[in-house]
Amino acid sequence: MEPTTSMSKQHSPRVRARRLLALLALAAVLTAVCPAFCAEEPDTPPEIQQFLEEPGLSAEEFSSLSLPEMLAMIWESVSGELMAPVKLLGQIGALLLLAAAALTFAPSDRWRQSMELLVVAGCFLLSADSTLTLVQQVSAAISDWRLYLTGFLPIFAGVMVSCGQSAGALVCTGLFFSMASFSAQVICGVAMPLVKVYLALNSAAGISGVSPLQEATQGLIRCVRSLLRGVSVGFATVLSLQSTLAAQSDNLAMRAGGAVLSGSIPVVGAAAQDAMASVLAGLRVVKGSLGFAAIAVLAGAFLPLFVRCLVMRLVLAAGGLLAKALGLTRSGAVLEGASEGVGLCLSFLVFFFMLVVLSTALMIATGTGGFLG
Amino acid sequence: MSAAQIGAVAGVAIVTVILAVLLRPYSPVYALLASLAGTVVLLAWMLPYAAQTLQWLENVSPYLRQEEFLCLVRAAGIALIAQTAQDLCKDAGMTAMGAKVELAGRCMILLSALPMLRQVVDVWSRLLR
Repeated sequence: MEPTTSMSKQHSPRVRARRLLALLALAAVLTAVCPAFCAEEPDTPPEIQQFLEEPGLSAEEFSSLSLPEMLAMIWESVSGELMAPVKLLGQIGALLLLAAAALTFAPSDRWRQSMELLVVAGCFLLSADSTLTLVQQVSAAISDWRLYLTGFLPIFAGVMVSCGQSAGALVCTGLFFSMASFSAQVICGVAMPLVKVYLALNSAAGISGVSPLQEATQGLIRCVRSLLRGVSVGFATVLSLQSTLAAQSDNLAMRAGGAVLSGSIPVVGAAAQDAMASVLAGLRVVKGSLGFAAIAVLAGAFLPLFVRCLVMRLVLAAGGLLAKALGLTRSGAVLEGASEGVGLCLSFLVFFFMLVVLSTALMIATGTGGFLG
Repeated sequence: MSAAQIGAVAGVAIVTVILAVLLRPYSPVYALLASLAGTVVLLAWMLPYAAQTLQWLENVSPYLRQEEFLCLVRAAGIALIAQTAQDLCKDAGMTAMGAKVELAGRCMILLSALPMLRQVVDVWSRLLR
């Protein structure tokens, strides 16, 4: 009985260390794989599927492009984006000049109200198509980004778990995804319809000239802004707090794991711990690259829409200024209101993009020896 | 339009006014007819210049949507004609008739704006759908 007892006493620390390592590996694999299985399988949007099947530019064509050709292509794309708003500005300017000319034909101020009704309706009709299209594009972009996050976050969480940030991964798949989905739902389901109502109310106030309608329009825009402010403050507070706590918890677990590893393996414990640290450092590079890739993909989708919104806002604001300069105050108010509506779309777009970028950057920064790690 | 041409317009107007004022004590009907004749002469005088302006607007119209362009030009024309008729009515001392002419003019402008207003309602229904 004695040799067996001594053998078990000799092997028990090694066996325990192996079991501990095996358990850690199993937990890591399960945590990495489970979110991917649990996540809902997203359907690829038809436009993206069509683009993947029939790309406008193949990889071979892209690699054979020279710099001037590439610049020409980029300019063509950018000018295509800018041409429509510039054309709209031309149309609005021409309509306002024509209206000013027509008002000089009008023999007295008593006809001014009837004729300005036509100008206000014309300005609204000119700007409505572009504004409505932009609102729909922003809604669709935010929905697409949420869909993209559905596919991306489980992968990112898996990499985070393999980096030893299981609590961070839980924040990523749980809190961040829930908050991003909630924000997207609030923007697409509540805020965007309110923006549409605002645009309709603004034009109705301009056409009718009734002052309570104008006050209601101002109240509605304040309401939408408060909604956006509330969502952004809530998200920032909860996410920063949870990320900090998760980072501290992960760091504590990593230190405890390192101490167990170096203490339980007698000779090569410290070397094994160093090797593990090297592997983790490599995995953190992968995590950082993956996060930056996600940010780059979203930035690629965000920038054209951002430019389009910004140019449209400037065009409508310029139209409003021109109308007021020509003495067409009601038309100016309608155009400035439409510009405010586009500004709200711009705010939602920037908010959701910054939400994704800041959250991803925060998750990259935690656990890498950065300011939180 | 040069200074001589605007001088001619002013001359016709002054002659018409003097004629109407002279005729009014003896025959208000002739005074009114003189006023009407002067107005018609002035409008006929102005037609070529208005045509030039309209021609320029037509050249600009490809940059505009036809709907708004036609609507605005039509409204300006309706306002001009209705105001002229209303002034003539007032000169004849028939202010009630002048008010009806103004009402008719406003109705005509609203009628010409109806297609645009219909489009506005369509856009509202798209926005609130």
